[in-house]
Amino acid sequence: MEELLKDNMYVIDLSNVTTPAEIIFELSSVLDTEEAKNKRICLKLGNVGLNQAQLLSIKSLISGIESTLSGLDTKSVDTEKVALSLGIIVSNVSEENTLEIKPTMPYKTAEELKEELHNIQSAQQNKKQDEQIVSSEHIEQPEVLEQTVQPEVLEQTVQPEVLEQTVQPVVHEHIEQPEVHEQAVQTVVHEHIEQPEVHEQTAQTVVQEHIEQPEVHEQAVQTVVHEHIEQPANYEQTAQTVVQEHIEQPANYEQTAQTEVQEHIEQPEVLEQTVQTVVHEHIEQPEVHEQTVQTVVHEHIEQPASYEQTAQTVIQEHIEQPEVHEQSIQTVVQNTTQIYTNTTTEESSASSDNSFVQNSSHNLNQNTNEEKQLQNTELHDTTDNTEKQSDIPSNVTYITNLTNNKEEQSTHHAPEEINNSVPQKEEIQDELDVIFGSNPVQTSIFEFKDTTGEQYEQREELNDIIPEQEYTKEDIELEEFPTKYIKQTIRSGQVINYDGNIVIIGDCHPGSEITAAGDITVWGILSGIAHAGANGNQKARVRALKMNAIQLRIANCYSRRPDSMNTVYIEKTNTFIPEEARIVNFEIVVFKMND
Amino acid sequence: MSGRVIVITSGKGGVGKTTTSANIGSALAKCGHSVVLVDTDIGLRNLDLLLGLENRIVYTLVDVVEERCKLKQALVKDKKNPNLCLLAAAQTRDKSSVSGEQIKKITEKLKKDFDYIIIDCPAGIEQGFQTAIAGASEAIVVTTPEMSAVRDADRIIGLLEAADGIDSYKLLINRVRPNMIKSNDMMSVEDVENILSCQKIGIIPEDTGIITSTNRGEPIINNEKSPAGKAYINVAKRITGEEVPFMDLNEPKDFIGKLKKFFSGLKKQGKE
Repeated sequence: MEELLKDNMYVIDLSNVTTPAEIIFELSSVLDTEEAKNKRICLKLGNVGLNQAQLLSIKSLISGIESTLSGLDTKSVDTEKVALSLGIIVSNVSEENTLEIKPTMPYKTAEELKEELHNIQSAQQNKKQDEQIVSSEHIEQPEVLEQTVQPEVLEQTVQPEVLEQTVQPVVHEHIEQPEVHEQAVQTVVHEHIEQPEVHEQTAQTVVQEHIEQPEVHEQAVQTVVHEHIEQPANYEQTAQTVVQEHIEQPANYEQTAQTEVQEHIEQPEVLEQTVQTVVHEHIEQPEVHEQTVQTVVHEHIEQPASYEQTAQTVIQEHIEQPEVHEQSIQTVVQNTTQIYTNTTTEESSASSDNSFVQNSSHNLNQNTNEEKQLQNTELHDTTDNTEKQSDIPSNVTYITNLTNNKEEQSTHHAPEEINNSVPQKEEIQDELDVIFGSNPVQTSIFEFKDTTGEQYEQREELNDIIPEQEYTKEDIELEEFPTKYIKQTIRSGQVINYDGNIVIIGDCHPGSEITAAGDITVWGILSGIAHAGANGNQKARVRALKMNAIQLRIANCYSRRPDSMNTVYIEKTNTFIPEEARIVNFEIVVFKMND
Repeated sequence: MSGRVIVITSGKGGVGKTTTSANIGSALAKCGHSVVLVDTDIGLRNLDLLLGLENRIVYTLVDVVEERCKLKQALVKDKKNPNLCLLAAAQTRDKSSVSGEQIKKITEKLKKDFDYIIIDCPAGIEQGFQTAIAGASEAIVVTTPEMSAVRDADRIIGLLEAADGIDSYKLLINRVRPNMIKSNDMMSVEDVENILSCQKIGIIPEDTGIITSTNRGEPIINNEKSPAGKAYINVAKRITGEEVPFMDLNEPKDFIGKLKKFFSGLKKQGKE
């Protein structure tokens, strides 16, 4: 494209001519040639002073052969004045002038440039060069692309990397309504119901949600996930504590490490008696997670009071003591690379009104509530049953590979019969379907889409759309400049000079001036004056998330903001399209990223 | 040609110096005079914004003073009126970068080419003020009918009287609200005049259109319906020596008010 414009430029040197009459004479002889037709003509004049009428006649002469007078190079002040009043670009105004071009022309947008090029093309009817425009439309910087993609990703909070690396998908919720629990079971969503006191104790490690109504549940879960992502610092703390807690249980951890998917099951006898199935799943690999579980939501049900309330309901819930809860958190919370899904499907026979299953981590045995024990005596073999658990860790079993369901390993001396007695997940689902019916409306409330995979796809698509930029030698030279990073808002009156590239993380307000020998990149709104390539590097560029610069200067090219642009206020949104300004044939053109 | 150098000053900030400068300059240029506006509020320039020339400034007053460019290169022509030019102040410097002597030199040069040189003075009485008035021979003191502004104007008038080169000074009372004067909530124009014992050159009524015109970068004199715009044109005419009566601010604007006035006139006639 630049070549195209350069080809179209025609410089007529009349700097030796001394009188206006001679200029017109020389000009008319030059303009007779075929070369000068359909060109952008740049006149080089010497010290000759032209008045408005003379310049107009020259202009009309040039327009007579379907060319345009696009630039004037004069040493005469009078001629300069006249030319400016006629809207002609004047360069080299005087000998002393260090800056060659005044910002008499607003900077162009890519669309305007395209239009201009289109006109030239239609005149020349050269179809081959059409391809150059197309290729030039996709001008972007890969770095900027990544920067813009990232904020979106953070907002959507579905990127798997973010989840795995920085955010632990542990959500604790209070559920008081048994109906909610039913639905949760059907959708293989697990919920811990906890005592608030316990939660406060573990507040630093666990983010919890109080949910009383199923409608609220979905929203609440989403907001919890948001909170997690917005507070990476807290998360780091939790992650550290989690790791420590894991280390306290090395046996379990090793066990989980050896097998991709494990299930803990507690009190199988009780389960059998009360027709309750308790399935815990440890999922360590995200792939497995995607296959088996759509979301990573955990809910503890701990309160005895709520337990009593829900005692008459069909669905059983987990009950935990505060102490037990802490320990359960240890299992719930995991490494950053692990995604732990605690799948609890609980059934209860319609006859057993007060049946409860204590379903939590391996250390459930310590300190059980006596009240619960009394309530559970009907279901448990004896009240001593729980005490036995404290002594015998054999109640904790692991089922390996939920997806395979065949490789089962028992740990902690757990009898294999117990493992066999546990129905597999699919079977539980089938049974649940029989009992509750597979109501799609109900399940939809608790259906959580695992959009992590989708986000990956979106990113890949974006990468496909925007091709890699080809770097020229000059670009590489620019990159070799030292780069200054400035993480602040540049305000009015502030000047930044640097003999290299400048990257500003923040906005540049009107009245500020940034001058760089290399590129200027503003990750924010650029509203001040930016001068890239101040040492004369015409390959320098100015980039910004939003280009609203009062003036753009690249090397010795000056341009001003078009008057049509509203100057009062630029609203800060998330939908900025990054823009880049560069020189196209002595004119500064702003390209939008997705042009 | 020897132009008149008029400095617009006030002492207190926010009374409308810059607005007055922009509008008087534009009005004078509209009348056919060649005008240059000089912004001496270095570091806090606003005159370019009011004229909508912000994006055209390359060289500033400081560049001229420090001889990085010629004076004519630093003059920015107005978008609409070719008679009007702006010599902008530098935003990235402060008041100490220009001295009174340098301003004097510049105004002497500008006098040759322009009929009117309007200097926009910064607020305060410090170096910036002294620099701004150095080249001027006339002054317009802008004030509002508030005690604080009047006090500051009084101080400024004292300084102007003491300064060399200021031959005459006039008072411009800005942001006058006739309704408040009626209800005795605001000092009347006469009160201000009496307190300052200074001849007035104009009364500008309060006008919300000023805010929009400032934001758009268009002087309000281009808005023919605006009372403030009319008042500024009148001020410009008085500067040129034309005798224009002061606006009757109590004149009812709305139709009902006019009707009332008409009927009250009829009653008086009937009584007679």
